[in-house]
Amino acid sequence: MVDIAKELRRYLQDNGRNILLGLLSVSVFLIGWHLYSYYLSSTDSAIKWYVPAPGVVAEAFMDWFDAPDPGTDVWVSVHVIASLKKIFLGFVLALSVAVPAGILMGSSRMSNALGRPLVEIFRPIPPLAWIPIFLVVFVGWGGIAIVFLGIFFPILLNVQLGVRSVDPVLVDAARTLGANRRQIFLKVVLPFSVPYLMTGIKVGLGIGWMCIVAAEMLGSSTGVGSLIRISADLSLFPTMYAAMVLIGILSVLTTGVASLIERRLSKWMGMR
Amino acid sequence: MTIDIRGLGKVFPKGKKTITAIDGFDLQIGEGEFVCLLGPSGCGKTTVLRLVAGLEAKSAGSIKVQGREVVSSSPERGMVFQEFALFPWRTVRKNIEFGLELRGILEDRRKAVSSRLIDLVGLEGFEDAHPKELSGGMKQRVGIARALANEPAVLLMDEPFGALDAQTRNLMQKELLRIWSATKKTILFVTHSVDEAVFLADRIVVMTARPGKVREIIPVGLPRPRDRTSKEFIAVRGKVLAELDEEFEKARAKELSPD
Repeated sequence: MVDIAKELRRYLQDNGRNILLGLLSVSVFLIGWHLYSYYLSSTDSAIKWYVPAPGVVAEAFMDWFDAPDPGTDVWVSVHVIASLKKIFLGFVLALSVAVPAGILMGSSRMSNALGRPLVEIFRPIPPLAWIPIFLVVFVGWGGIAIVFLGIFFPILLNVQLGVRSVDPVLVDAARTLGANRRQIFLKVVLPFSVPYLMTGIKVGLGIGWMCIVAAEMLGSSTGVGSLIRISADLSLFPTMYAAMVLIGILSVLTTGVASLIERRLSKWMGMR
Repeated sequence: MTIDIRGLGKVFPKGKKTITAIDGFDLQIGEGEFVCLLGPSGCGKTTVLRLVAGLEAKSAGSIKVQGREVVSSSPERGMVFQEFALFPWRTVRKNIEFGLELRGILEDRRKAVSSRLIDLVGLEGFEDAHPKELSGGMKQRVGIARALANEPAVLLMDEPFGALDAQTRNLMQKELLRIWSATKKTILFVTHSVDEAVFLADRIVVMTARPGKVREIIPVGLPRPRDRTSKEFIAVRGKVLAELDEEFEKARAKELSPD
């Protein structure tokens, strides 16, 4: 933990300027949003109920710390844990299938020829499209299956890329040092692919969060995705926006942990 | 005879046609000898080296190292690459110990060997550095130490100093001679630099343009350390250059011909 705090401090020091620029663009966005909702509130337009001021959204967000969520009547932590659980299970399942599949497709032309068409057919299908089928087929696991799909492809493709990118001269070197096929795989191909895997995990987690609303669309009453839907149904728009912000924060935190691990690993491995 | 190459041939497929890279290549190298392979680019010097290493399969002839026919790569033939080919995720020490690790040698023994080699190649203080922290010359010191860790009978070097600047290159040539005299390895060294070959080799093998075979073997016969500015050095250089020039011309004529 101490290490991570140190790492974070160094990151803030190194990226001070970029962080300031980021804050600047976010501020401009918030001011624009505020002005727009201020303008709407002075009109008779019905849209004004749908666009509360950022301050109102922030209030709705802070209210979660004092009382259960107004729409769903449970503490917001229940929703967060429910979504994290889906992301985590979807992630673990995706990792355990995508890594072996990616290694296989990266190292054998035949497996690539077999797997590629399936990947190309299924990858562009929006997770939302699966909802009706998945909820029937997987019942309670339907949401996890949707998150799984989102995380699966980035990991698969990055692992495959990693395995394929192995520098052939490193394989030659290992062979002249006496490595057999198994040793080349374990001691050259695998370590070489680790940074690629981490990139896949980072991208995959981000997409996993993008799928969470779809994953909680039906048949689920907890989770931040459900929170958005239920708040909208009850016209609790400030809470709905706060839930959107919450997803953003959760996504940044989880992918942040992944990229922290990625950076540390790459550095420890001397790759960057 | 440590390396005995007879009638070696190598044919590569290229589209529907084939290219004869090596044809009727003969070379015998004695124990502890330092031989440089020199020739116009594309003459197949590196191919010969890779065939001896067992990284590629020969199409004809025979390669015997210490009396045994080469069928695949083996730790008894260490190789040093122009691109260094170090494992970026391994420290200097772990790179050097790679071959020992593969053979399941225990850590204490590995460490003893790598420490000795780190001393030999002059990398004290960099044991725990990763390759990206090293200069080109230091990287190649690791490459040499890593190949030596397996105690190979022969050291195959594929333009090992080709990626280095002139200063570092000269220094590394001297270092290599020092390491060679300390380890008494048989070395087959590919280069396209006449100067480098005359400075290093006991004998220089000048190859023909493709298909590559031995054009001429020139014994250098100068005492070491060699002085690049001495009359004798320049004389040998001139002789090698004359041989090479003719092959360069042939190679160029071939390149310009429509076929």
